Amino acid sequence: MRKTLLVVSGLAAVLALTCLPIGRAAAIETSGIGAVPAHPRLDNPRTKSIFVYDVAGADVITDGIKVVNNTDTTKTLDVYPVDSQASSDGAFACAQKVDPRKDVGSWIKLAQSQVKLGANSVQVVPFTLAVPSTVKAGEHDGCIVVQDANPATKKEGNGIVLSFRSALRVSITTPGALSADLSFVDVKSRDINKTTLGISPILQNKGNVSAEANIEVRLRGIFGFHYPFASVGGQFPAFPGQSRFNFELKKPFWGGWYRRDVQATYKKPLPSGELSDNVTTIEAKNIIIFVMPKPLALVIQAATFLVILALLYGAYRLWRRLRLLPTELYTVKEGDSIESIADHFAIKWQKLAKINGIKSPFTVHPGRVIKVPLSAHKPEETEETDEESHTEHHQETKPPSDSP
Amino acid sequence: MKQRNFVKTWWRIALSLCLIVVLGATGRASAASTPTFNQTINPGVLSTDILDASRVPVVSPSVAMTAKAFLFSCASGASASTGTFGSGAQRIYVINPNGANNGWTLTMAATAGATAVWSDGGTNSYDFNDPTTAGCTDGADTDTKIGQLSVDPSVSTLTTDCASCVVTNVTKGSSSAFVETTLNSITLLSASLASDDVWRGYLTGVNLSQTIPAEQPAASYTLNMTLTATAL
Repeated sequence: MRKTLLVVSGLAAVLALTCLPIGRAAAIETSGIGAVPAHPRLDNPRTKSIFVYDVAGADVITDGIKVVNNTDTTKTLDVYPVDSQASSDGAFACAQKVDPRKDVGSWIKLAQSQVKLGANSVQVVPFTLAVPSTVKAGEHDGCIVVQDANPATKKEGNGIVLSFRSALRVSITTPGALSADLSFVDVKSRDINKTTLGISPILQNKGNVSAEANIEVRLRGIFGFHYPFASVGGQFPAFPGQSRFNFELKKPFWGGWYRRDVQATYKKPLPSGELSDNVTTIEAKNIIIFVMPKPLALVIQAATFLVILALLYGAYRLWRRLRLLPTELYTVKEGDSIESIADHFAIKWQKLAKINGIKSPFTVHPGRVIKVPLSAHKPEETEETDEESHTEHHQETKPPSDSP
Repeated sequence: MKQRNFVKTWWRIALSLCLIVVLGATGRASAASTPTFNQTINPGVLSTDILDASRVPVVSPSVAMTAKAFLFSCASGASASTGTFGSGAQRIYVINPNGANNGWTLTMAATAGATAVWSDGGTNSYDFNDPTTAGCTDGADTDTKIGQLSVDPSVSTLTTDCASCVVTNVTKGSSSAFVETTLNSITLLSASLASDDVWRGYLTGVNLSQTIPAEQPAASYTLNMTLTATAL
């Protein structure tokens, strides 16, 4: 009974603890002010984030922008259209509010230029997009911008005073001869720091619409093998004109010479405005670059090199000792053995065998001429004292006089 | 015996209380008319701001430039006024809570456009986008002022600040200088189509360098700039 009661009480406690937090609201982090399209199209997922229109000259489109205040305070927000402009690296940017509007920025008329939004609230601002009848075929870009109307900016001091805004691209394609023609102008490489290599392909789009270029930068060994870690890339819009894309690669630990492969794939637009099913691939000039090894690799490489050098030098010394020392020739007589000859010249028989390339079972036949190191020759056993030894100096095996 | 009965009674009371608590809690929900819980989560929007290490917006963010003494010659190159945009206490944040799914850019431009100048609030000013290479002479632009601002985001550090997001597919811009009419905006970051749809990260250590014209009157100068996060 007591056990049952304990179990029931325990279960009740667990249930109570589990159920208690249910009533609490989970905290959601704020993410500032901004906007999203109010009426995204199901047939184009991109319209969830930006405005995309395929329209002809003189068309008028009605749409809306959902202005969002995800902060915990009431905000008065400016909402305004502007033209696009090329930023550095050919990236997309929106012109400033004060800049004159000549293109898409002048085609958009918002129902409101300012909205007051309470904390964590949303409001849709309708707008019309009136495309001029004289518009040229191709892509026209602009932005709709949301900005705090009363930012807390510093009024005095020394330096740059900052304000912030959030913008949505408005991409309009008007029918006609549409083209996207990409080619690589250059690929820049540079050391960013000890561990990072910067590779920046520069693409030229000679067409009149942007292309989604899937760029891939890879380092390959000079003999063709790939390094899985040395590959970067991504799909970026290549707007008409030049665009530069900055990629960073981790430097290969061991450094050395590498082949730099840069390629881009994209789909060309069809006259209908749709993208072709065929993928066009372009490649930048394949060049070989030197990558500096990392400091630790450099130390290891230097140490390995020194060890190899030392080993080679040791082997050379041994070879010289064995092969190039002054020798004399000895003709094997009846009854000689390798051991007796070695004893005679006070040398180890193994050394004598090695010098003369005599293999197991180390038999020497009478009449065979073998080399005997001069240094091994006993002074009292020179040819003056032992005429029958038939030794003679063999000058050819002596090292040259200018050798080290 | 008495003590045993007391314990038994106590456990009965405890059990009854537990049952009341448990059954009462569930019974209340089932006995009441079915409630409707409404909760609205606003769409996430791409935004940029300067936040501190605790992700609190910095009030009146600004970038200080090194003070220069009055000079008879132009201060350019190594002797130019420099600054660092983005630090541990003032991080250049980009927050994309699923608001920009096709990529985005973070750019920097003068709020007053191409004709903006560094100004002391009075009559003294100098240029930030003169077209001459060193910015030490007046180039072919609409004003007669000298000076050029260079921005180098390539040396900066990009750090992600969410559990699942990565810096892959977000690239830093190249070192560039403002040039009136041809380069009015400088790219700090570009995110590709394949970048994380839910991403939060920040940039620190963007190098700035401003050429100061010769014989520029001593004063405190400011330049208003706008950071724009654009969904592509």
